[in-house]
Amino acid sequence: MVSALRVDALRDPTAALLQLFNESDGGRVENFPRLVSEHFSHIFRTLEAFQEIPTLDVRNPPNTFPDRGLVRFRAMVQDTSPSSEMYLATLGSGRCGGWGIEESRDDQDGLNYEDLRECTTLWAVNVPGESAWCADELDGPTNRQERPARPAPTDAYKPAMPHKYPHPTDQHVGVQVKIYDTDGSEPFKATDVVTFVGILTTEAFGSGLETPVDVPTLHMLFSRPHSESIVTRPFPAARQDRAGASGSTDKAIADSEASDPAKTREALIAWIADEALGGDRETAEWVLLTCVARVQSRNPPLFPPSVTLTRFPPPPPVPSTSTSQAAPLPTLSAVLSLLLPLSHTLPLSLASLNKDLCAPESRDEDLHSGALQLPAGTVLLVCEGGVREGQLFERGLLNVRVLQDVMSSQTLSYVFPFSQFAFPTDIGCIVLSEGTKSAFFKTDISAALNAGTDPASVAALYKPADSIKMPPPAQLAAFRDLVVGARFGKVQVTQEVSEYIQSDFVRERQQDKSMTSDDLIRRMTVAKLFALSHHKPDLTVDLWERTKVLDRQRLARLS
Amino acid sequence: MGMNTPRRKTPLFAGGSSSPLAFPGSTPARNRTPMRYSRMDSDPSSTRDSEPLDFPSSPVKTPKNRRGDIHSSLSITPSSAARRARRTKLNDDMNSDGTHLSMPLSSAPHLSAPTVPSDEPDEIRAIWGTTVNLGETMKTFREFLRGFKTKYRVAYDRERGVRTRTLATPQEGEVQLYETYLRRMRQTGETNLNLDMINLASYPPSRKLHSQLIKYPQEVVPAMDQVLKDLMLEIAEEDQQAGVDGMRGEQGEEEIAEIMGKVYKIRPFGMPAVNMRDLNPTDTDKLVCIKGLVIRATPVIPDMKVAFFRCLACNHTVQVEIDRGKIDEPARCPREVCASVGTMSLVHNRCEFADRQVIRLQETPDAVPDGQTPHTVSLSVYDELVDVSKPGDRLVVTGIFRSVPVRVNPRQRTLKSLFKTFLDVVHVRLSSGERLGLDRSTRPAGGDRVPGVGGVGGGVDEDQDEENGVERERRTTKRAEMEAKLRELSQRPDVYDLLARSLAPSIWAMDDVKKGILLQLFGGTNKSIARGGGAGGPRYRGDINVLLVGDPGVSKSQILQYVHKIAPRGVYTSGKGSSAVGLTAYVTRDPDSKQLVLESGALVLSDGGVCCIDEFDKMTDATRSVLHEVMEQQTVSIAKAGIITTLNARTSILAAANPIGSKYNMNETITRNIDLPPTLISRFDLLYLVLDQVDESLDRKLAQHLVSLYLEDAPETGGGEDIVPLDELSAYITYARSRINPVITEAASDELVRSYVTLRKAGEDPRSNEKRITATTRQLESMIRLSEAHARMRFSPFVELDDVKEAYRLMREAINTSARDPTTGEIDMGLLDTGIGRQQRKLRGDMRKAVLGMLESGAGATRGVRWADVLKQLEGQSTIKVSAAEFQEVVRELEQEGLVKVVGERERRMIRKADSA
Repeated sequence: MVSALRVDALRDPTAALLQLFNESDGGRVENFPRLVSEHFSHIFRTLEAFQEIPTLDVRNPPNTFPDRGLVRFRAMVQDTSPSSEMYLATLGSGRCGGWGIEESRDDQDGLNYEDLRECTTLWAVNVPGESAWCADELDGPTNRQERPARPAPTDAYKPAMPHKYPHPTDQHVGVQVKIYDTDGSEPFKATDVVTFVGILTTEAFGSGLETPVDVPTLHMLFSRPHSESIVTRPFPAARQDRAGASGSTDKAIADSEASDPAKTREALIAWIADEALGGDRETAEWVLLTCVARVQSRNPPLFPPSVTLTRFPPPPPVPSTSTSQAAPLPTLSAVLSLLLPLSHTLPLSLASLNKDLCAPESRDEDLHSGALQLPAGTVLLVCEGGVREGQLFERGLLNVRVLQDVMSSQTLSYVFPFSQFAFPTDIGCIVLSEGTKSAFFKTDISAALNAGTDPASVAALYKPADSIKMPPPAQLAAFRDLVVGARFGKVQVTQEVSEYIQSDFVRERQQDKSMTSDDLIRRMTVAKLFALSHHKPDLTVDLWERTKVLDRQRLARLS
Repeated sequence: MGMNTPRRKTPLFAGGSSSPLAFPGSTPARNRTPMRYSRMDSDPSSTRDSEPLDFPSSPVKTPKNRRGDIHSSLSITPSSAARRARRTKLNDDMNSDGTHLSMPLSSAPHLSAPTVPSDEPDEIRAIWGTTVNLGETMKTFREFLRGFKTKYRVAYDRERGVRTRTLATPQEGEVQLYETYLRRMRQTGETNLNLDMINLASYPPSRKLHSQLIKYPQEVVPAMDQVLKDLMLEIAEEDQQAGVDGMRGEQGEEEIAEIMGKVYKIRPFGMPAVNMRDLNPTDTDKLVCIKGLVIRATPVIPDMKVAFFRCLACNHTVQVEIDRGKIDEPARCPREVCASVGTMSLVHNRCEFADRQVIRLQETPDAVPDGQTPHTVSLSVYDELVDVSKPGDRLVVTGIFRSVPVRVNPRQRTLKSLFKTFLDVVHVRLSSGERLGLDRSTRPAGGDRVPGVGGVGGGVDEDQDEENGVERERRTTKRAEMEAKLRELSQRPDVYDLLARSLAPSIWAMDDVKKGILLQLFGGTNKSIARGGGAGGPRYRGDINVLLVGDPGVSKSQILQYVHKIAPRGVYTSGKGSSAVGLTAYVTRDPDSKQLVLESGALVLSDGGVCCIDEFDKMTDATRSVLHEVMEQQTVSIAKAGIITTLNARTSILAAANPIGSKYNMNETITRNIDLPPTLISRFDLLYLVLDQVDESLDRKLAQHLVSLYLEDAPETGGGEDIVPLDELSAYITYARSRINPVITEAASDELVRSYVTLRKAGEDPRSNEKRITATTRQLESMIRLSEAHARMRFSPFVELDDVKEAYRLMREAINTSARDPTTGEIDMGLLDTGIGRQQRKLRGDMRKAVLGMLESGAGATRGVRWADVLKQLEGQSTIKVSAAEFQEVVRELEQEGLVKVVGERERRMIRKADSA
């Protein structure tokens, strides 16, 4: 029965919807949209069934779907400001209204204002910065998707409203989402990541004073929220207990690489260092620590530390013969996207700073996206390598400030006419700077990169993604488990350790007057991340001491 | 939706159904409603229904109330016979088409006298699908306007436990409020009456009208308009008979004629405002009230109220009224003899237009749910309300919520079952600035009032409080609660410490700094010399500026962040990231209008608030120079792109700076430690040095505090002590700032004088006749401000002795740390005012004499002396070390004064007497 419903819903969702309306006497049901949402999420409740719904994404843009086809769209909510709309829930002939169902002319008789219902409209874009591996994991096998056969569209897809995507020049998909089950769930917030399942069609967008334009529109049947991590991994790693209990002397277990987080961690650091940082393991460790950081509390502010990798050489000059190629991105960018579900690289240049938006801005009541409108949990790699001498104008200054605000207070101000709204962000930042400190930003931690400056070493830092030496799949999976698991772990501090840290601070201050409370705060933050990266749920004295060693080494290299 | 249901069995309020002047040859279907009263545009058959309207269709030419905001299909006839006669005459005057044919409004006699009790069955006078009996409604409203007295409102308010204004005299409560208003309207020629709906609810006979008005504004408001006009005339007639001044004889006739020609409008207000997100389909066509911020407004749009069509074949004319925002063009000539299809053409200059404007209203930040972006609704405003508000205004709007079908393709007649919604505005009120948390004393007296719309009348005590009734009352209960809580808090003996502690609970110690900043948040009172020259004379700032200087890593930035969150209109900026532009105001070209517009930056934005500037020392000189003006004159002048403007920037500044070389050098003066011009430093009322000193027990406590904050799972803030939550603290401050303006008592002023003299005296040195400056008038002013702020903090209307004592203590503490000359250990304000201490000045004076002496005597007199030699000689003469920098400064001064001349380069420099060369 259910599978029959499923087949029907996949083939013709509108008919399935109308059938539900007729069967349940939708015109009289208290809350039909609620029923729709429950009905369809029940049909597709199993993962297997869910994965049969074809995905709407960059590879399968809206023009590859038939009108009113069923799609699922994993998206970031970009703009919740479009006002709600009213629709006729029951058309004149007693048919089902809403979900973009067309009304024939004779339905107009007996327009009954009591049948008006409200639907919420929002704009959603495909998740910016989503890694390919993460997408594959969530999409499921492509051959399982019941994608309707359609002749390939002749012309390339041009996204509607590119200004509503954080990185407008990138290939992306943006659709208008209409939600009929308005009081069912928590209202969606900007930068939430949600999978919308619904009927894809085209409708007008724009409620302002401008003439509306037709855009792809998804009439939502039901939705699935995503946890902050998008993908989840256990913390501490499942086999950690065994490894910890038997101790490091137990060779049998220690041999199997993936079983021991410490080993995996070592291998991971080595891999990051070799592939992206010219073999500098210490810096790689700082990169790893940044990758496992997230906002733990807003009051008091426990934010992910922002890190500057100093002495990071600028990209090698692009040969003038290749006109098409822009300056290459550092290999670290590709490495991060192999490890993290969400990461984005922001190459800075004066031109882009002066021109592009970093913070979303509402112009003519249309919320334009900004480069920093990214879902929580994104790690942002900021490359200063492209910055040349020149003048930073108004917009540029503001952009720098906006990015600095994200780093230091994890809030992003959306600009609206006559008002600003600060939205919480959770974006870890790694700044790559050529000098001894970042030209624009004040970060919590600076770590000097120790890689050669000869052209060959520099080229290695910027080698293309396809020349990265990939670890064996099992190992890569272990890396991801480590990083993703650690991101959402929690670290406890026992009374003894906390007392140890206190007296340690007092002692050190007596020896070295330059030690301040800021140093203590930084060390505590790092120590927590250090414990997380080891998949240790407790901060021990040993970990604290090792953190201090790491921090001292870093400082020594800076001076 | 009664009115829109096309089931018309009875020609309800139809005017022309039995027109005595039917056009010859017109359809004899007298019992059908004429087309202009047809209610459903979606009923395509209505065109056929239409009678060949009276040619030339004059009825619509009467000064009939055709409000764009109401779109009512009601046509209500005048009620009194005497008036009808008058109107006829008037109609003749008004109708320029010279036909004088019209008397159509008299054609519905069964409706024409709603005030007269009628025996007719109810359903005839009831509005379709509603419980509203029109005659009843008009009667009730008439009674209300006639009978409402202020005392009813007072009683009503009291009944609901709302704080009411006490009436000065019992007579005041007996005033027939609306009659007074109507007279005032006649005198001022105003045609709009603002109707506080709470008054409707408080007058027992009209209570039902209150809910009817909300549910069926489209029907009730025109009825009310009609009653208003009737009453205007009635009162005018009464006054004329009574021989009231200005209403006698001819003059009275004229007045009455004028009233006849006018269209009167009721503008109801006083409903509780709802969030615009909460408007839902059930509100359609009901009266609602929302609040928001105007973000855009279209230019004035001529909105067709009545379309005038003429048949090209037979010249028959038809007038069609707007219905639900559109006009149905007749497909064929309604005259049966003609009935040609597609010959009706619009005659533009015979159409009637109204002013209309579409405004986009956005949710105010306080109404937007967490994590959401603000929503926007469209408002349609008409006639008098056009151009009342401009982008940036906060409005409370009362209007009728509309849903109209969206046509997918305007060419097709198909509807997608989608509706767009908007508000037809009946009343606009500019929101008072109170909730913005800005200092009201920085706003012009009188506040922002709605210009021209005011009409007459409104709330009982509208003159005293711009807030409208329900809102005020709803808020007063909440506010009263809050107020009681705050008052209670203010009575605590330790309120000062408590508030200071709550200011930045996560920051350890620094009590005096927190106290200073706390007083900054409260601020002194602004004083202006009202009868000065020019526009009211100068305004003395009450804003207290605070500068924190200190070692890195002493949580200065954190303090700033806290203040930014608490302060009303707080703006946070980092010196490094902000250009002069970002900090002040700039001129840009508006993308829509291509006009140059001024956009405010941080300082102007925090007008009436606190501007927090971090990394003050990293700020460019150009930016800082702007601050000079801001801090004393409290204005920002902009000269850019051909516009020179001075903007108000009445803001307190809280700045944090790091010392040169990042670590404070205790052996140097403060001006040497921070890279800031002394002139700017002296503008800060309080300057705190926040130094990082190593102390084991303090360090241990600090570490404990931080570890618990950063590592443990349940972080305690403020070490478990009782603290006031941020929002309450913020409310406390806002309340104090807006309500309390303490006055200095005699005792306090004596103490101020005494303290000032003590501070000045500290500079007297019996050993020398040269005075050190320990206090200048700037310090006195600061002390006054601090005392006022302290009194404000206590919610005290008077500045008392203790306030001054605390102010003096804070000043001393601040001066102690900042103005102490490290060489002598004495306080010297000169250090802050000029950057040079007394000791240094004395030294320079001596050096100057010695240099001049050398040039006077010996070889130096003719050839000059070598730089290095002079320095060496001085070194020999002096008991203390002479620094090369000091020496250079002295020579530079002498050179500037034209006494000496320096020639040569570097080591070979020679100093010569200027006149000898």
